[in-house]
Amino acid sequence: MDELLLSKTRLGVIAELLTAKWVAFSELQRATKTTNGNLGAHLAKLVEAGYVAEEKTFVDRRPQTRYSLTAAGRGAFVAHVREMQALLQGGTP
Amino acid sequence: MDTREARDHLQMVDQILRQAEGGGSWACPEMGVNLVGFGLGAGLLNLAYQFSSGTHGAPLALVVAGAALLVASLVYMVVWTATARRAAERVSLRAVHAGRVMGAVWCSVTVAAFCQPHIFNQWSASAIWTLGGAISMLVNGFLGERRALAGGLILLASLVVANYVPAISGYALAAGFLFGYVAVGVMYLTGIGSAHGRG
Repeated sequence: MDELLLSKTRLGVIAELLTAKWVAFSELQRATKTTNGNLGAHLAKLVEAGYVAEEKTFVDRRPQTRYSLTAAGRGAFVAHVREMQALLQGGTP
Repeated sequence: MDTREARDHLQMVDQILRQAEGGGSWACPEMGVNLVGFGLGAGLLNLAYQFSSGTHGAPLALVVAGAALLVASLVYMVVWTATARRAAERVSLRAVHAGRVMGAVWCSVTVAAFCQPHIFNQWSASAIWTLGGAISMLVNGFLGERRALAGGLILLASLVVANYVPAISGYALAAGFLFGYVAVGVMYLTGIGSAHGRG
C-alpha cells in the first residue's frame, strides 16, 4: 500500500482534489477539519511526492495558495483505493 | 492497515466523493440578474419583431431597450464571471466541463446569428437564441438544478408553439424567455425553489 496515503487526512485531501480543478488551502482546511499547521505539513508531503501541485496567487491583494491533483496523485489514489477494496474482500492487498 | 481502518478510509472517501457529486446548485443571485437581463432583452426584441411583422415597423424603443439590456447583461456576466473565478476557493471539474459546454453552445449560436440574412431568415433567427438558451438551461438542469430544467423545457415549448402557431411566433418566443429565463432568474434572486434557501 502507498504509505503516503495511509494517513486519513492526506487521503481526504486527495479525494477532495479528485473532483476539483483546484482547491484553496482554506477550503481544504474546512473539508478536512484540520488545523493550519497540520494540513500544511500533510500538503507539503503530498507536494514533495508529486501527487499534488501547489500554486501561489493573490486575491484582492491577499495571498492564496491553491492545490490541484497531478496525474501521479490520481493514479496513486486509484491504486490505493483498489488495494483497500481488495483488503476488505479478503484478497491480496 | 487492518480491515477496520480500510473500511473507515473508504467510507470517508465515499462521503467526500458523494458530497462533490451532489455539489448543490450553482444558482446564485448574480446568475439570477443575468437571466433576468438576458430574458427581458431577448423577450423585448422578439416582441419588437412581432409588432413589425404587421403593417408597421419594429417600435424603436423596444429594439433599443432590448439591445441595451442584452449588452448590459453581457458586460455584467463577463465582469461577474471574472470576479467570481478570482475569488473562488474551489473550482470543481463539473463546473469546468459545464462551462466548456456553455462556451461551445453560445459560440455556435453567435456564429449562427451572423448567418441570419441568408440561412436563418424570419423567425428562425430569433429561434436560434431560444435554442441556445434552452440548451444552456437544460445542461444546468441535467446537473441537478431543477428550476433551470423547467426553464429549458419552457423555452423548448415556446419553439414548438412559435412553429405551429405562426401568427404569434414573436409572442411565443418572448413568452419563452419571460417564463424560461426571467422567471427562473427571479427565483434565483429570491431563493424560491432552492434547497438551501437564498440562491
